[in-house]
Amino acid sequence: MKTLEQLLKERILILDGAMGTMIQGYKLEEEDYRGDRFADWPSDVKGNNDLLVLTQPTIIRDIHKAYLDAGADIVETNTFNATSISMADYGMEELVYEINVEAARLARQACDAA
Amino acid sequence: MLGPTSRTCSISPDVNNPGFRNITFDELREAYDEALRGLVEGGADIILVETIFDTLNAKAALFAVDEFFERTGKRLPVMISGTITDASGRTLSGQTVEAFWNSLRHIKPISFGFNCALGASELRQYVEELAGIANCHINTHPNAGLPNEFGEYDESPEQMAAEIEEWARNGFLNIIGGCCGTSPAHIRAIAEAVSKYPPRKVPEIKPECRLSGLEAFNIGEDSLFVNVGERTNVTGSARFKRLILEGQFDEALTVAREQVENGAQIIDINMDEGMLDGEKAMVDFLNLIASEPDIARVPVMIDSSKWHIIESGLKCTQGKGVVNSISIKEGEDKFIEHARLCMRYGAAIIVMAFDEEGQADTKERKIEICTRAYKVLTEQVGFPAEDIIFDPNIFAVATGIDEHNNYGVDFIEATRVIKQTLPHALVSGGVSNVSFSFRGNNPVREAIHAVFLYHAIKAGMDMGIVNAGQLAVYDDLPEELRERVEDVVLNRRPDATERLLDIADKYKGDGSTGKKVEDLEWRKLPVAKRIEHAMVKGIDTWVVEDTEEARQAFDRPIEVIEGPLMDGMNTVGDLFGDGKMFLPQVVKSARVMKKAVAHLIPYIEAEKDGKTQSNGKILMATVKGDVHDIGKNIVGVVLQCNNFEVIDLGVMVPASSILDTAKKENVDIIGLSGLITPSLDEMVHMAKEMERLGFDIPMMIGGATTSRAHTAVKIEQHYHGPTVWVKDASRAVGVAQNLISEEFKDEFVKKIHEEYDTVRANLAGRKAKTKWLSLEDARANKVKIDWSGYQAPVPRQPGIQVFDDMPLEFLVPYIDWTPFFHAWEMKGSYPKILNDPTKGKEARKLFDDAQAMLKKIIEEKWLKARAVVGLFPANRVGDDDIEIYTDDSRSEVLTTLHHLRQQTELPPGKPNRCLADFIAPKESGIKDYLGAFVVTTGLGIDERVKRFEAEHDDYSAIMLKALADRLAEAFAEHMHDRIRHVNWGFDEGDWEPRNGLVNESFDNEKLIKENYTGIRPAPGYPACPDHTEKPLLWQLLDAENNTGVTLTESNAMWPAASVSGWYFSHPQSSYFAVGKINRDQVADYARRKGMSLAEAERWLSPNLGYDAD
Repeated sequence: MKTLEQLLKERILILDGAMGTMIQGYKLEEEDYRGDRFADWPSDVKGNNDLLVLTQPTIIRDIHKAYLDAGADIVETNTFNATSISMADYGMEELVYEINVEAARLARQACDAA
Repeated sequence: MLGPTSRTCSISPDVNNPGFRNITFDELREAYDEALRGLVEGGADIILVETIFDTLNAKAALFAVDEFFERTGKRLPVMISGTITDASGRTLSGQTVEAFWNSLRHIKPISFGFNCALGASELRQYVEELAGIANCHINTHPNAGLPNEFGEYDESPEQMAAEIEEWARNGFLNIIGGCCGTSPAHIRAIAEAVSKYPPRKVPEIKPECRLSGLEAFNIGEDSLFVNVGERTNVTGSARFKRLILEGQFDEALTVAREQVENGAQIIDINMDEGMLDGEKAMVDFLNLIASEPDIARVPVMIDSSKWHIIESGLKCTQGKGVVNSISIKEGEDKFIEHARLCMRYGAAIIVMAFDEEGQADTKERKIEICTRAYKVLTEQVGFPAEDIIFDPNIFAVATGIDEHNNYGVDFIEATRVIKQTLPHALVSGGVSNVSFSFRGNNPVREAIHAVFLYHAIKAGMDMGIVNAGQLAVYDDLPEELRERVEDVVLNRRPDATERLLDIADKYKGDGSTGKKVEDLEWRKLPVAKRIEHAMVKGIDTWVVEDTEEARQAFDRPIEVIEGPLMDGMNTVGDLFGDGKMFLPQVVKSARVMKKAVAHLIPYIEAEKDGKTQSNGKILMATVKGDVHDIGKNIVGVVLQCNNFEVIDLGVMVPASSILDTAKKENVDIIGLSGLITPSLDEMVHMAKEMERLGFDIPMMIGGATTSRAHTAVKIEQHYHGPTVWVKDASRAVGVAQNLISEEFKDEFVKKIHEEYDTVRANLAGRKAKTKWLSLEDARANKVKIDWSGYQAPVPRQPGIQVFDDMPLEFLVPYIDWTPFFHAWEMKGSYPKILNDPTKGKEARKLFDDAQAMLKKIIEEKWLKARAVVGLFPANRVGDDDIEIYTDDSRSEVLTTLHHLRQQTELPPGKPNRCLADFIAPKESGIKDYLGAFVVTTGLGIDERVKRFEAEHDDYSAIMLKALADRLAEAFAEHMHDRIRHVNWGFDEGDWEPRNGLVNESFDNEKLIKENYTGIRPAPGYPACPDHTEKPLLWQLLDAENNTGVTLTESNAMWPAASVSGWYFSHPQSSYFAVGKINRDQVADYARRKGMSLAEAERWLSPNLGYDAD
C-alpha cells in the first residue's frame, strides 16, 4: 500500500464533505439520538451529532460510505464536538473517550469495506 | 478529527474584562489528549485539527498531539485546517493567513489549509496566498457557498466544482473536500473536476525566522535590523515597573502601544521583580495585549530568567513569539528540555552565551558557548537553526575598569564569527547595557548606541532590544562626539574613556534627545521661539513641557498666551490669510494652541484676576434639527486661532438655548450653521427670535445649504442687527474681526446692507422674468418614455435585506476623495490635487494623515457600518406619485410616495422632469419596482470624537468626521453597485462584496461619474427636495431598527454619516434639480400629502418660486 506522502505526490486527494448536513437529512428526533442506551439520560441530546456513533452507528457508517462511493480518499471521523469541553453541554464528559474510539472504528470499517 | 470548542483561549467571553479567560491552555490540552487517545485507539490514520478559529486553542490541541506521539513513539500525519471567519481575511482571534501559518508550522503538518465559514469563491484568495508560502501540502474544505437567510447553503455541486476546478488548474490544491452544506454529490463533482489536474508541488521556502503576532513577521537574510521594544520590562523601565506594581494595566498597555507605534517590530515583556507575582503579571499582561490589535499585531518576546514564567507566557501566546532566554547555565539536560518545550509551543529562542562556568565575556568564550549550543540544538534536539537567536552578551564599556574596555569589540567580533560559522542563526543583544556607565546623560548614551549598532550591524547583528523611537543616527552625530564614542566602543586608545568623559557634559542637554533625530535644531532655541515654532509647524510633541518651562520663565501665566502663543498664532493666521498655509495645517496648529492653553488655565484661574484679553466672544451652534458640524468646527478652530473665544454649543441646538447662553455669556457674535434645507427655516426663526428678544449683536450664517441670496432675502429682513453670510472658514476671521472692530464695524455693516440690497433687487428681477408653466402643462411635458413593450427588471431578491456589520475595507475602494479635500476647504479634484504646485504638498500630508486614520478606523473597528435596502413592487399613479405595494399581486398599497416636478419653462425639447416619470404607470399593466436604502458608517463615532476633543485634538476629531462622511457615501455607492448587480440584478457582470479589492475591472472613476444605469436620489436633495418623504422611507425599511439611524425633527439623519435614498432602474432615469416651483403645484402637493398649505410651504421654502404669505 502506498503511503499518504506518495499519493499526495501523484494526485489531488479528495476529502469527504459535510457530516452535519447529511445527518440533518435523516431528520432524526430526540428518541433517535437517545437510542436504547440513553433513553433515560437526564438532558436533551437531540443535536448531539457525535453521540450518534454510539446510538446510530449504521447511519454514520452509511454517510462515510456515501462519501467513499463519491470518490473521497480521506473521511473525517464524526467527532467535531467530541471533547470533554463541548460534551459538557450534555453532561456527557465521561463518554468522550468511547465516542472517539467508536467514531474512528466506524470510519475505519467504512474504509475497509470500500 | 479534533474540532474546535466553544471556549477560546485567546478571547475573553466578557467584553468588560478583556484579560479574562474561561478556559486555560492546560485544560484544552488535556481535553484534546483524551479525544486523541480514543481516535488512535479506534484506528485513525491521520490526525486533522480543523475549523480553528483561535490559534491558541489549536496550539493546545497540537501540543497534545505532539506529546502523544512522543509518549507512544508512534507518529501519524497531521493535517491542520483553520477558519477565516469573515471577509476581513482573518481568523476569529485576529490573525492573518500568514500569521496563522507561522504560528502552527512548527508541528510540520503534512498539509495545512482552511475550511468552513466561507464558500469556495470567498475562500479562494486565502488558499492562493497560503499555497504560495506553505512548504507543506494544502488542504481545503469550503462550505457550499455562503448561508442564505435561512442559514442554508445552496451552492450546487456544479457551481462549487467549477470554482474548485479553477484552483486545481492554477495549482493550489493537494487535498480538497467540502464543509457545511456539501453532500456526496458535491464531492463527486469536485473529484471529477480536479481529476485531470496534477497536484500542487510543495515549494521550497527560504529558512527564515518566521514569527507572528496577529500579523506575520519574517526575519531573513535581506531583513533590516530588527528593533525589539524594551520599555515593557520592569527591570529596565521605572515607569513600567511602577504601573505594573500599582496594577495600572491600562497605562501599562499604553507603554506597549507606544513601543509599537515608535517602530518596535517585536516587544520584549519582562515581569521579573521581587515585589511581584511575575507569573501572574506575565499572564495578565499577555492576555490583555491579546485584545489590543494595535499591539498584538507584533510578536512578543517572553523575557524571564525563570522558566515557569516563560512557560506560562507561552501558554497565552497564539502567535509565534520568542523566548528570552534559555542557556546551558544549568547544564545540557535542562537546556535540551527547555528547547524541546519551546519547539512544541512554537517559539523561537534566544540563547544566552552562558554555560556552567558563567557568562561569556571574551570573544573566544562567546563563540565557544554559542557553537556548542548550536550543535546541541540542531543535532540533538532538531531545533530549526533559523529559530535560534544568540545573545552573546553586551556589557558596559567605559566603566573605568580596564578589563571592560574591550567588551564592545568582543561582542562585535563574536557576532561576526557566529554569523559566518553557524548558518541561519541570528544574533541579538540588549543594547542599552553598553552605555550603562553614562546613566543620566541620554545624548551620550544614544550616541554610544548608535555607534555600537553601526558596527555590530555591519558585523551581522540581526536584532537588538532597544528603546524604539529613541535611536540616534550614526551619520547625524556631531563629529567630535562620534569620534570619541567610537574610540570607546572600538577600544581604539587607552585614554578613550577619559576623552569621552571630558566632552560628555557638553552634550548632556536636557537629558532627553527627543523622539526624532531629523531636524530638531529648533529644540535648541529659547523656549518662546520653540513654542512659536511648534505652533507654526503644528508639532504637539513637546508643547506641554515647553509651555510649563515658559510659564516658569514668565511673570504670569497669561503672558505665555499673550506672548509666544499669540505670536505663533498670528504667524499662522497671516500665512493662512496669504494662502501660504492650508486649513489642515491651521487645525493642527490649533491643536498645539489648545493643549498649551489647557495646561495654563489652572494657573491662570489660580491667579483669579488673570483674564484673557481675547478679540471677542463668539457663540456657535448647529441649529435645531440639524446634525452636521464639520464646517462649523473648522470655523471654530480658525476663529480660536485668531484669538477669538469660542463657545460651541454643538449640534441640534434649539433657539432658546442659543439665546439664553448668548445672554448669560455676554457674547459678541452668534454664529449659526446648517447643512440641510430645513435648517434655513430654523435660521429665519432664530432671526425673528433675536428681534423679539431685543438682541442687537451680529449674527453670522454659514453651512452648505446657506447662501448669500437666502440670507439677504429671508433672514436679514427679520433682524435689525448685522446679519452676515460667511462663505467658508477662511472668510470667517475677516468677517468676525470687522464685526468686532469699533473702527470698521459701521462701515462694514453698511457695505453688507448695500450688497444684500443689490442681491434682493437682482433676485426680484429674476423672479419676475421666470416663466412658469401651469402644473398641468408641466405634467404634459413629462419625460417621454415609451412604455409599450417595456419590461421592467424583476428583482432577484425582492423585499428587505439588512447588512448589520459591513467590513469597512469593502467600502474603501468606493471612496470619492474629492469631497474630502473640499471638506478641508482645499478646492481641487483628487488625485490631481496631490500634485498641485501650491497645494500639493499639504494635500499629500492631509491625505497621508487620512490614510493613517482610515487604517486605524478599519483595524480597530472605530465605526460600524450598517445598511438596509429593499426592493418593492411599485407603479406610478396620477402623474407625480408612486404607489408601493405589499406584494406582487399589487392589490394592496403599502404606501404612496410623492414627488415634485420642474415647473419653469425650459428650452424646447427639454421635459419637465419628476422622479415619478421613471416608474411605469399603473394603467400600463407593467410590473415595475422601486428600491430604497439607508446606510450609515457613523455608529460609534461619538465616543471617539469626544476622546479627541478631550485631548484638545480638533484635527483628529474633524478628520474622523470627514472620513466617516466619505465612508457613508462610499457605502451608498457600494450598496447601489450591489443592488444593480445582485439584488435587482439588471447590470451585467459578476459582483462580490470585495469587488473593488480584487476585481481588476473595478473602476471607481466610472462610479464617481455615475456612468451606469439607474439612479439613487436622496430625499432632501435636488431631485426630491422634500424632507418629509424621509419618514416614509424609514417606515418602509424599518430603518431605525435595522440600522440605528434616526431622524431629527427636521428629518436630518443621525448619526450624520448616513445616506438614504431611492433606487430607480429605468435606463432613462437621470438626476436633475426640481428647482423653483409655483403656488399651484405646492397646493396640489399639500393636498396629495394631506398637509396644510402653510406646512408644505414651510418644508419647501427653499424651492418656492413665489412669496408665501
